Amino acid sequence: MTSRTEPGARGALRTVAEHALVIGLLVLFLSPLIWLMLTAFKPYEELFVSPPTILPASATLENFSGGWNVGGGRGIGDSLIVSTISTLICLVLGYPAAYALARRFPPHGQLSFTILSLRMLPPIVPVIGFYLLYQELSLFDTYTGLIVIYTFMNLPLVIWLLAEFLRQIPRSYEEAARIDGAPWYRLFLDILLPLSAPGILTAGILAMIFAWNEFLFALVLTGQNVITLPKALASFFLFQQPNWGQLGAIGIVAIGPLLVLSFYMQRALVRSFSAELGGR
Amino acid sequence: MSRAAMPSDAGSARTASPAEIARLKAERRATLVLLAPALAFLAILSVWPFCYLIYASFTSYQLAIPVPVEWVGLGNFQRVLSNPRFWQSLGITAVFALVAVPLQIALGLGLAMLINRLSRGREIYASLFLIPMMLAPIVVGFSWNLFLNPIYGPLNALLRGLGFSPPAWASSPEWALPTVVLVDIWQWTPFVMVVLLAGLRSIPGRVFEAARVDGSNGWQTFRYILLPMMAPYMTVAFVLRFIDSFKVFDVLYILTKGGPGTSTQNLAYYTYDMGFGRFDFGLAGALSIIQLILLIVGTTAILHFARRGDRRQSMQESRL
Repeated sequence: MTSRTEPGARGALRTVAEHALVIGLLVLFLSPLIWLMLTAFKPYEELFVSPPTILPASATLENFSGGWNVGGGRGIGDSLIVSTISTLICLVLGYPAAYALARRFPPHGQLSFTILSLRMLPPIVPVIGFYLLYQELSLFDTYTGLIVIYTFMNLPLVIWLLAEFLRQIPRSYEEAARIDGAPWYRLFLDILLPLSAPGILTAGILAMIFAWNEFLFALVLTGQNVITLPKALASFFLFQQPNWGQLGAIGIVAIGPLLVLSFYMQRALVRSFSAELGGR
Repeated sequence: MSRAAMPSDAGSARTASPAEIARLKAERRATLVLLAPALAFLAILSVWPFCYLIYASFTSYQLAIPVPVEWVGLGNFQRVLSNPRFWQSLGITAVFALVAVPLQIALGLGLAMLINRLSRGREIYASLFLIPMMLAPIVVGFSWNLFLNPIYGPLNALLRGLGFSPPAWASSPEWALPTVVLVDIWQWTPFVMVVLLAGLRSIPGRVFEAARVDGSNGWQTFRYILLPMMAPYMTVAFVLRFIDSFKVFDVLYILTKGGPGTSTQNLAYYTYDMGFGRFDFGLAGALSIIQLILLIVGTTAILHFARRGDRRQSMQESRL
């Protein structure tokens, strides 16, 4: 199965071949994205030549400022507002619940599964009900409305992830603190919060990404007042002759922060799936 | 998902003193206080809109028509089930769940095994492969739209250069569905890869050593050792992806708008079109509820078969 035991030059050659294969696959695999990035630096006239140029003949940055001005900037602003606030609410509501599930609710399995299953719902199922409710409550096309539904969408996942992390903190720490007579907020601030910081970060990042990328709720539950980035991109794309360069530029700005996080994310995912299924 | 319950605080054999009982009561109260805000939030927001949804599905709720809303009983469900468009969109949803997802599992396993062989740089490669899954589906949609553009896109230019006459991909009736399936596979194979990578890392290397010493060849090792050990991970990946396959919407919205005609219109898109294209909330509500039922039945069935498979296998093992 592995080449690691093979000695000498043949083994080394095989390793090189394996890396070459993986890198080749990777470039092929990411080519649509690489193409998008190259396009973002092409001037307008160069976007509509056939056959297309691979590298921009005269690279330019004007797509970034252009894309920002045609709605990209507005979209980024609205997305930041909505995703940050909903993530914070998720953490504030989710942390105590996760703690209760991890520590004080012995038959927690069923309850956390029920909570998590809410996350599994395809957005199209609840969206009709939300639309009618939002019309009634005048939450349609408001920041509050979108923040509420993103919190609803991400809270189950946040609770589940935080409970997983909190369960890994030994109970004896808290018991020791309790015997010392420390008040609950000291216990929380001095012990639980620092020890669960990586969990909070993971859950927060995930919730943020989901809210940042979400499209259907934004499409259906908002109008002209709130225009998140995916919605801005979609309308920009569909209702005018697409300026691919500007789309590419906004796209890069939209996904840039996520690319930085992907290394961190795959680690967190591998760890949580190993823990969940590996029986530890 | 559930693990064996932890021994509870109250589970000790000795009888509890009144002070201890008081402490347990206080803890129970604290638990409820901690859980209450989140549970209340989730409960209100799952029950309230859900009531609206059920209500709409039993009425002729049409926003565009200013007539009084009438109770129509199961009429909307009848309208859905007798409409060929529903069956077509059900078929397209099934293609995503039963064609795209198994392909993702197979490709994800191959990719995970390939990366797992490397002694260096595993994490870096895995993160780079993970990129498509992190992107906003809208960005995925238009990068592929650009990539596959029949005139200005690189792929068709390349194919033409090689002497082929390439199709118009997303805008051609025959190729539209394969194209959106391909994009779904592109976006989600990395997720399966990461789940299966976690599985591969949990198999100790000596298992394979032992198999080799016993003289089993590559295929036998794969079939009788690797696959069974990976089964729980593959089941989880399958269930999660099966559930997600009902959500496919954003890429369709950008890439095909459900078309050409209705050739890429899955249940989610059909529901969206009925609800927010035609404002026929009665029909859209019925469609939503049908999807919910399908999802619950499908997931339960997969888990049931997976568990039965487990049992059969452990029986075989015990017979040996």
